[in-house]
Formats: sequence, structure tokens, C-alpha cells
Amino acid sequence: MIGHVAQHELRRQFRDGRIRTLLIVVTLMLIASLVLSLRDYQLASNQYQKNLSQARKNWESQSTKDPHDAAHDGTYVIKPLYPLAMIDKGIKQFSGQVVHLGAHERKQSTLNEAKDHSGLFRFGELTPSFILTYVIPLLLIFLGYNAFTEEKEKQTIRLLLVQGALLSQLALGKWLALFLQMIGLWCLLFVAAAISSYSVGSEISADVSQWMALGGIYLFYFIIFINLIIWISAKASSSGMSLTVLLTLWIIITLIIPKASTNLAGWSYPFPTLQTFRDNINEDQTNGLNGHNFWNEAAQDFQQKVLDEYGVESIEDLPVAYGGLLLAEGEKYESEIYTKHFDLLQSQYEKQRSIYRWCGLLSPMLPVRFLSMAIARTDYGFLWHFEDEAEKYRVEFNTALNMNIAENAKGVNRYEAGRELWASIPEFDYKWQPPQEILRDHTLEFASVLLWAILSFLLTVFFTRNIQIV
Amino acid sequence: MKENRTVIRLELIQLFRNKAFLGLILILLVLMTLATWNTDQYFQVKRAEVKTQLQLVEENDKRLAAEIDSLNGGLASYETSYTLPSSGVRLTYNNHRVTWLPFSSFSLIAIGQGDLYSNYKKIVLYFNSSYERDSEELVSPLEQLFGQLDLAFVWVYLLPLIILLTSFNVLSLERETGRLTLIASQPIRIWHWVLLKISIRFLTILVLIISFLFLLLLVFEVDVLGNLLVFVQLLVTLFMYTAFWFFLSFLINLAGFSSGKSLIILTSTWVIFVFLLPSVVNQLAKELNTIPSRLEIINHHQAMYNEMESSQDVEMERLYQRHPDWRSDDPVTSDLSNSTGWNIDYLAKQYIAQIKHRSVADNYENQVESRNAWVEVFRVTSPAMIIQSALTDMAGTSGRYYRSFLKQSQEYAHGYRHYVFKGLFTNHSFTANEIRQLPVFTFDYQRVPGTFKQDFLIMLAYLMVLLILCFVLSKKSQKIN
Repeated sequence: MIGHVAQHELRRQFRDGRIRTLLIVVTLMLIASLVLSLRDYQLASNQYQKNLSQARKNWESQSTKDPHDAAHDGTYVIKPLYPLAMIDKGIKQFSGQVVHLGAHERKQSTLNEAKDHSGLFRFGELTPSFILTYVIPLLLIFLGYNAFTEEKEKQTIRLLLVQGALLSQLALGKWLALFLQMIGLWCLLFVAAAISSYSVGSEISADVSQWMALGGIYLFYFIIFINLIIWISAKASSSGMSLTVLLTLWIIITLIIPKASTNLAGWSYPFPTLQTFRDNINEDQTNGLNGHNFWNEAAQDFQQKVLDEYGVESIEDLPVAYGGLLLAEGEKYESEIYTKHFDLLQSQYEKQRSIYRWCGLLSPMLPVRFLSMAIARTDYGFLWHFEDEAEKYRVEFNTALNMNIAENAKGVNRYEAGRELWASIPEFDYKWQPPQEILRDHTLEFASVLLWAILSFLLTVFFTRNIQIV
Repeated sequence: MKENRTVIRLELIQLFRNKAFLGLILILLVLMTLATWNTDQYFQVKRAEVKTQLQLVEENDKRLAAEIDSLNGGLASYETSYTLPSSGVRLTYNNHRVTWLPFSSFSLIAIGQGDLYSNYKKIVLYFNSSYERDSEELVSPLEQLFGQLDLAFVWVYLLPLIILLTSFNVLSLERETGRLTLIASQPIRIWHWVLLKISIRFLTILVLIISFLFLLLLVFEVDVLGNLLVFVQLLVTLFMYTAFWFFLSFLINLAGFSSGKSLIILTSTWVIFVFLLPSVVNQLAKELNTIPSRLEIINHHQAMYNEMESSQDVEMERLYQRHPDWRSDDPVTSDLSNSTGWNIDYLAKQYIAQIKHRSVADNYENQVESRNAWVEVFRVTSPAMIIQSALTDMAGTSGRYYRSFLKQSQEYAHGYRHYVFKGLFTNHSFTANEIRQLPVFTFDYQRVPGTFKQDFLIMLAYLMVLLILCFVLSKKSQKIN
């Protein structure tokens, strides 16, 4: 019976010209968004490789200079792009593309792409995630809003019930019809995206399981919408009412709650202003080591520690250049301060995330989007991970340069190093966070999506049993 | 006339008894309140940030001037030029400047690009970033991704939906419930009757929004009377946008579709105007106005710095030819063991690299500007884009405002650097008066020309087209069975 109902429902919908048009339009949009995203990804991958090697070339081709001056000039590390970012660009446009690694200071990512666009850019781009998050749920609403109401309006539901069909069977049949239409679009997008991403030939690749995980998240998202559509259509007194309620729900789920939760998170756990953030760091650094101050108490303590280690009485007796040791130690100390303050910022974000999680109980779009961005490595978690790794590298990079001073500048008036030293500094080798770790960090989001899917399915199956059929 | 009055009276009674209508209006007003509160809070933080920065500059300058007075009065002595108050080194390193974008009285209506850009920029002479068209802030990128709840969002995105949901079935509902035959038997034309009903809904919603907006502006202490022109422009903008969606709804009603079909068509139109066309325009802008990656610009700057270092003497000579008034015979200025000499050398290197890099950087910014100008032209394809652009302009938070601010800040930074470097490179002793009269930044509004007239004309064209279509369909609707 369920199969028959589904077959009938599919036939009914394909006979309708506007449904065919809508399906064709959405399919074309999906294909266009995929082609554009693939092009973007290809371009970004090429630019990444090209600019990464140019940054390294710039570093290695510096002229002869004091290694600490070279540390001040610094170098750049560039955020790589994961193939799944083709589907969901996440915060990529808003989070900067590069981190400058210099002496004494940890910097945030800079070059926020969004700033290079007009304000109208905020309306969004034609990307697969835009289609998946907003357009396909809307299409499902258009396809299914009258699944039950039309039967009621034409009184055909009575005939079906007289013939022995159960309301739950009808509901499941109509559910299946919507699911089959959705799965067609879903397959088209994810299979095409996965295959084309391998054809790009980028050095970074995502395995099939990650494509499946990303696809699976959106599958759950659509199932939630299908459940709600069938349930509301069964409950509504007319097609117009059903469509009105579903559209209102769509607005709340996709537009209002994500925005409202952002505001709520921001007001509940605000980030400090940049000035306050820097003031706090400066305050912590005031009495500590900074590599250039030989006279404060911390520097005196360190000096004594070095003298004790080497068993000598004065700096002049040291076999190494004390200035280099102080710079290296100062760098470590300053980095610890930065790490402390950036960790505080991260913990503030984690608190904000708890608000998003609670709001996820009101809108499945939130947990779905958080999971999607995390799997695509375009979320805040990726940004933190990349910046933390870059900071570890910055300390190693500075330590290598400062220790070179310690080892070679003893007794030299103006010590300078050359290209050999610059080339000997290892390149930054970013290791992606393992998928298991990412999924573990998003267990609650996944649980939220699952809860939505199960509860809404139960609504569909159990609460359509006792609907008014007239 | 009498029939009209009866229809109006009955429609008003019906409307205010309609729970769905009242519910939607309530949602709209609640969202407007929340949005205004949110924007107010948002800008209070931004205002406080700017105030803090301006105070810091003022305090630093006062302290420096007082120290110079003490120095000249023989009350204090200093060991190095890092601490010597009259030295250009001290001024360069310890007394930064701040440029700031003033807040519009109507900033309350749209956060716009305010969550991407800071309303102030620190000009620190030894930071390369001071001469770039960028500003730093500490904002969660998630906030930027999902955007802020402001009145512009409520009006541009949600208001049309509420209009459509309250007017999509004015005619179809009567037909579906069998009442249309009764109405048709009355001495009133169907299109006239639909027009009356739609007009009442339009005016009710418009009056409610405008009155509530006026109330909100009063509560949040916006100087409406002092900015009457902007307020009138805002009202006209709201009127035209609301009218556009009601006209559209009227048109679809006249087409005689069923309720479901009408709502699908109207919602699809909403999706097209509010989501699809803007995203297609943005995508086309990217495709047709390709711009190299900013990463290339950064690398170019680094490469120029390396090039400059490898031929520093020649480059320094060129610098002095470019700025003959910076040349000095004072031996201190060329002695690298002295902090003045060392800093002149360091800052000159940064400056030379910037000069060598500037044409590439400017070219990049020009390309960004022309791409954005392209998008601004094609905003005409969607009323939602026109209104968003108009509202953010009125609020002074559009990308045009922020980018102009950054450009003006960059120009100020160049001018200020020239002023200070002239003193620093010649080992000039700055006086307390000179510190008190350092160049001050003022934002030039003239450089962001208004677009209200254009927006008005484009919206008027949209309304005229819809009006013509309505006229054509009204003839057809007389044949509605």
C-alpha cells in the first residue's frame, strides 16, 4: 500500500507543470552552483600553491640581516582549502586567509574576503550549501504542502480509507514520494561534487567517508523537513493554510532563529573589544620577559638562571650570545601569554556555542550547519586549529632564528645571517584535524539533528492516525 | 462610493478579527522592537570603542605636550630619543592617531557592514597596516556569517513575506469558499473589489509600521526632527517597497490562481528577488570582474621589501630626491647606533617598500572598487537589493561608507606620515604647540554621494511596470467566473 501511495503521489506531482518547472529550476541551480563552486575551489587551490611557494621564496631570498630583524619581518602561512569546502564555504569569507608570523606577537588571520565585496554580498552567493540549506527545503514544501490537504479538499481521502488504507500508510507513502524526489537531487549533488573534487587534482583530498558524512547530515535535514511537511499537511484544514504554516516554519527555522541565536550568543558571551584584548595582553606582559628588556626583574632572574646553568659569573663569560638566549626565552614567554588570552577567547566562543546548541532545539538548521561547516573544515573550530598550529610554528620559527644569534653572535659587533639560515628554517606543514576528533567535538550537534529527525518522524507516523479527514 | 465605504468598513472589521493577520503583525512588530534594541546595543559598543580610542589619543597628546613643556622648562631630562618627548621617534612610537567614521543618527535602522568593519582606525606610523585600506576588529566570524538582526533585515526579508501571507488569497479564498458568486452579484467590479481589499491591507500594514517605527525612534532617542530629510527618505523607501509587494500580490490575485498556486508563485518571486537574483549578481560580479588574490598583493609587498633591502643605498637616495625636505646633515640622523638614526633607517625601509608596492596595491583596490560599482549598478535587478542598499546608506553603514572611510584614512595616514617624518628625518625638536596642533582627521561625506534619487526612480519604474500589468489583468479579471 505504501508503495502504491508513493507511486500515485509521484505521478500526481509530475503531472503538475509547475512542479516539473520547479524541479527543473532547482536542478539547474544545483548544477550551476556546483560548477561555480568547483571553479572557485580549483582557483583557490592553485592560488594557495602559488602563493605559498611565493611566500617561501620571499622568505628565502631575503638579504643578509640580523636574524631577529628577519623574525620581525616574518613570513606568512596561508589557510588551505579542504575539498568539502566546495559544498559549504562556512565562515571562510569572513575569517581571513593568512596569518602573519613575526616576532613577539601572535596575530589573527587577516585578509577577510568579505571586506572586498559590496554590502550586497551579504545576500549570499549561489553555492551548494545555500541551495541545500534554503532552497531544497522550500522546494520540498512546495512539493508536499498539499499531500493530504488536496485529498481532503477533493474528498478522495474517504475513498482511500474505504478501500482499507490506513492513515499511517498514506502518510508513509506520501513521505516516501517526497523522499524519493529529494534523494534524486541529493545524489546528483554529492556524487557529482565528490567525483569532480577528485578530478581537480589538488594535493588535499577528502575520503569517501567524509563526503558521505556531509551528505548524511543534509539527508537528515531534508528528512526533518519532509516529516514536518507531511504532518502539517495532514493537520491543516486547507492547502492554503498548510502552505502558510509551512512557510512560516521555514522562515523561523532558516532565517529568524539562526540570526536570533547569533545575537543571543553575542550578548550573553560577548567577545572583548580589540583594545581590551590587547590591553589585557599588555598588562600580563608588562613585568615579563620580552627579549629586548635586559633590566627588569624577570630578565634579571633569567640571566641568573643562565649563568647558573653555564656555571659562569657574568654574561661576558658565557660561550654563547646572551642576547639570543633572552630573545628566545622572551618569545616563549610572550607566546604563553598570547596562548592564555586566545584560549580565553576560545572558551568564550565555546560558551557561545552552547547557546547555538540550545537554539538548535528550535531550528535543525543550526546543528546541521555547524556539522556541515565542521566536516567541510570551514568552521570556527578549523580556524582556531589552524591559528593554534601556526602559533606553535611561529615559536619554533623564532626560536630557530634567536638561537642562531645565541650560537653565532658571541663577540660579533653586528651579527648578520644570510640565505643559508633562511632556507634551513623548516616550512610550515599543517596537519588537518582528524575527522574522528571533529565528529567527537560535535556529538551534541549530531544528537540534536537525530532528535529532530526521530521526533518529527514520530509526529508524522503517530499523529496522522487521528486527523480529521473532512 | 457607498459600496466602497461598505467594503472598506467590512474589510477593516474582518482584518482586525483575523487572528492569523494579527499574529503576523504582532510578529512583525516584536521583531522590529528586538531588531532596534539589538542595533542600539550594537552601536553603543561601537560608540564606546571610538570614544575610548579618541580619549587615548587625547590623553597621550596631553601627556607628551606636558612633558615637552617640562623639558623646555628644564624640569626633566631624558636619556634616549625613544623617551625624549620632543623627538620624532617618541611621537612616531608612542603617539598614534585615530581616524573615525561618525555614526549616523539613523544608524539604528541597519548594522549593514558595521559588523565587518570597525568605525575607527588606528594610524600607527610604524605599522604597514596603517597605510592599507583595512581595519582590525575582534568579532566572531559566525556572527558575520549569520548576520545581525536589524530593521533592514526585518523589512527587506520578512516584511514582504508577511505581506504575501496576508494578501495572497484575497480573491482565491472567496472563490474556494463559494462567496465569489455573491460578491459578483454586487454592483462592484471584481478587480475594483480586490484592489480595495488589498489597498486596505497595504495601508494598514504601512501605517502600523511607520507609526511603530516613529515610536521606536522616539524611544531610542533618535533626533527625527533634526534629520527630517533622512526620515522622509526612509518613509518613501518603506512605502515603495511595501507597495511593490502589494502590487505583486494584487497582480497574482487578479491572475485568478488557486490559493496554493498563488502563494507558491508569490513565494517563488520572493525567493527570486531576495535570494536568487542577488546571489546571481554577486556571482556574476566575481566571474566578470576577476581580481587577483589578496595573497598575491601581500607577497608582492614582501618581494618589494626584499628588493629594496638588496639595494638600500640607491633606494635611500631616491627617497631623498622624492622628499628633499627630509634630507638632513645632522650626523645623528645617519648614525645607526643611535635610536634616531636606527629608526630613520627602519622607517625609511618600510616606506620605500610601500612606495614600490603602491601601484600594485592601488590597482587592486581600484579593481575592487569597480567590481563593487558593477554590483551597485546591477542592484536594479532586485527591489530587495535596492532597498538594502538604500537603508544601509541612510544608516551610514553601507560598504560604500566604510570603504570611503578607509580610503580617506589611508590618505590621512600618508599626509600625517609626511608631516612627522619630515621632523623625524631632520631631527627636528617638536614643540608642545606642534603636538597640540597635529593634523586631525575629518570624514568627508561629500565623497559618498547619495543614491536616493536613483533608488527612488528605479523603484518607481518597478511600480509603473506592475501598475501596467495590473491594468491589463484587471480587464481580464472581469471575465472571472
